[in-house]
Amino acid sequence: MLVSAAAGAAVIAALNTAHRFEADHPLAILLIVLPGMAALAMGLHPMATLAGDRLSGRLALERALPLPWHVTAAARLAGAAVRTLATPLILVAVLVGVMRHADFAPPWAVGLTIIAGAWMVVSMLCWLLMAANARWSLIRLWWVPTTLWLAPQWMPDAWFDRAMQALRPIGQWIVAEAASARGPFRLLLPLAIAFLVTWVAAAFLYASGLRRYVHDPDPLGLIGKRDRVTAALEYPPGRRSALPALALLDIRLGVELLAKRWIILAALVVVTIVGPAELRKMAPLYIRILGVMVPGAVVAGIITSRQSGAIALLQHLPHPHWVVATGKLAAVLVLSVLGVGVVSVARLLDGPAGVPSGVELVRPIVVMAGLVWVTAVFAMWWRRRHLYWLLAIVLAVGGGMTAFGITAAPVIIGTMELLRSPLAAFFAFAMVALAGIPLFAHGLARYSKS
Amino acid sequence: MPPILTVDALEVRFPAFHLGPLSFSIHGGETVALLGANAAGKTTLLRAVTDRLHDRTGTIALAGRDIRTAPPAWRARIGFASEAPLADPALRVREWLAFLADVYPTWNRTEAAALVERLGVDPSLRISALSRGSQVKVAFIAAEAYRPDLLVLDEPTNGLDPVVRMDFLALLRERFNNAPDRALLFSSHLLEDVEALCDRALLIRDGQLLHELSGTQLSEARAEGRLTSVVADALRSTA
Repeated sequence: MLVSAAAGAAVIAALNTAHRFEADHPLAILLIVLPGMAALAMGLHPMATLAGDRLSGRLALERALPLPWHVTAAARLAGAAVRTLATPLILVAVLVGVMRHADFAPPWAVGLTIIAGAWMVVSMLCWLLMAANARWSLIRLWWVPTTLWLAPQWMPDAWFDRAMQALRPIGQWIVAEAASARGPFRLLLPLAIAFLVTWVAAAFLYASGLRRYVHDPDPLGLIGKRDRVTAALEYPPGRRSALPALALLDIRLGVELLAKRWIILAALVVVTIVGPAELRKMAPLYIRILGVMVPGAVVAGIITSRQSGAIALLQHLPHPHWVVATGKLAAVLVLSVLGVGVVSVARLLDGPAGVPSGVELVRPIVVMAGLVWVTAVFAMWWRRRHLYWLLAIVLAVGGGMTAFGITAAPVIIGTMELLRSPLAAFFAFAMVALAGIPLFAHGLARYSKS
Repeated sequence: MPPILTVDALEVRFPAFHLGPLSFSIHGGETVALLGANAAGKTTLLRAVTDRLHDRTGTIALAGRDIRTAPPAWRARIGFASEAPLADPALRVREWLAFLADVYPTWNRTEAAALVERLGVDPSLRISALSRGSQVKVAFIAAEAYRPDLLVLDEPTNGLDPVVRMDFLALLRERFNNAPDRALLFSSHLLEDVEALCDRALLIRDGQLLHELSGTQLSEARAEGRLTSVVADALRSTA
């Protein structure tokens, strides 16, 4: 991972250096935000690995090692710190672009301070999260980050201002120190002490977690809840032909997932009505995402059964593969009706006033079903070598558009505008459905678990 | 009457493993064991025979027809079960069996219900909640209840406790010993399974079919209580 990060950092640094950096240029998003997110993800990756170990039960191996638990814990945390080195590497690459037009050349000591400081801060954050996860299970502590995120928004303005005023001198001192000749070293010293103290403390907390660890595959009790929620959603007994049977199976699984999420939907509705302003803006978007996830369950099912090999059952049913494809399409259509029902909740909350017309109700179903079906077909048909085809097409289309002076945004906006016409939307869906069935069938026939 | 399964010049090439070329056939009424060490190619061969491997050469014919060119309904002539059913783990056993009843025209609901009862599977449980042994049983029921001509089992007794294993082997004997129109092909590491079940054994190592033990050889070795040494000698003699 470090090698990949270093290579990625070099590419980003080169791009940032070559690019005439302007903060408001769309490329700035690619060159700063995406690497920034990647850096954060890499910094938190050891924590994610631990979360996986905890859920899968692999943490029991560390518990059983013939070593004192705090030694095991210290070693794992040290390993995590090495893995977080990827973060400052990428951050520095981003800074190359940001700083290249600065009026002053930052002293080398400042650069080193940034790398070492960022690494230590990210490592400490990672350690604290890992130790907390080992000791208490972060899944059960979901309310802690939620509260930390929401608290400043719900805090009265006066309190918030007071907190910021208290923090400002610390920030100003750090900036002043970093700019002075020996400041960077003076900054690193307390940070290094905090780094070591955090390591020791986190190791002991982690070790106490190892001592108490018992594998719990269902920390939130989701399986138990699913049993209660879905009692009435079973695949019904009785005789039916293959096509409705295939559709019904996917509908049953998709509805089960929807039933699991109704609590989230209810919470988002409440937040939209009585929540803080920022959340009120975002909640309808989350509701729309929930809506798309209803037919999206078909895509998720295809991806997971491809990975597990379970899709071989559909491949070997005594029916033509296009029957299986049509069954999936039917399921996507039915689940899109439910999905648009969920999206309608968001429309009621933030959409235009008045009763929607019949066309306004049907068109989103067709658009959602079309988009999800395209994704489902890709999920079934996609193989690694298709990536090269896709890249070639993107390059060819992108090159053609550049040659003719066409930019992508008006094309996308124009397509979306075109789909606002019900006739065009239905036509596009019919085309996508017809083209997708043989492609899906081809992908199913060619499937072979690697 | 053509053999139920004919494998001719089958070859599978992976970057680090090469299976074949292999040729053999299985006739109706036969129960055939596939024996070999780990990584010998048993599962690869079973996957190829059940058309679960796309990149292979050679011909595999089921009841006289190449499985690549046979109509889709031909696929109901072969059943395959490994250690877990190929089902969404969120489904209950009865839902999964109801779905299979809808999609397999030859599915026998009475027989499926009888198998569920005989093997002691709780049909109200979700597949994710089944023990490993129960998953093997559900996978077997899902492959057997439409009565395929050829039933292929990949290490079918893995995860079964000794009592259930004996019952399971007895069930297989009942179903295949006097069934001239059906055949069983299974892989196993357990020579007790071979002793209890099969008429013929194919010994495979490093992707090559090394030896074949006939029904007579197996019967004699079984009667003299030296089946294990016969198999071991057969593998050693070609080493």
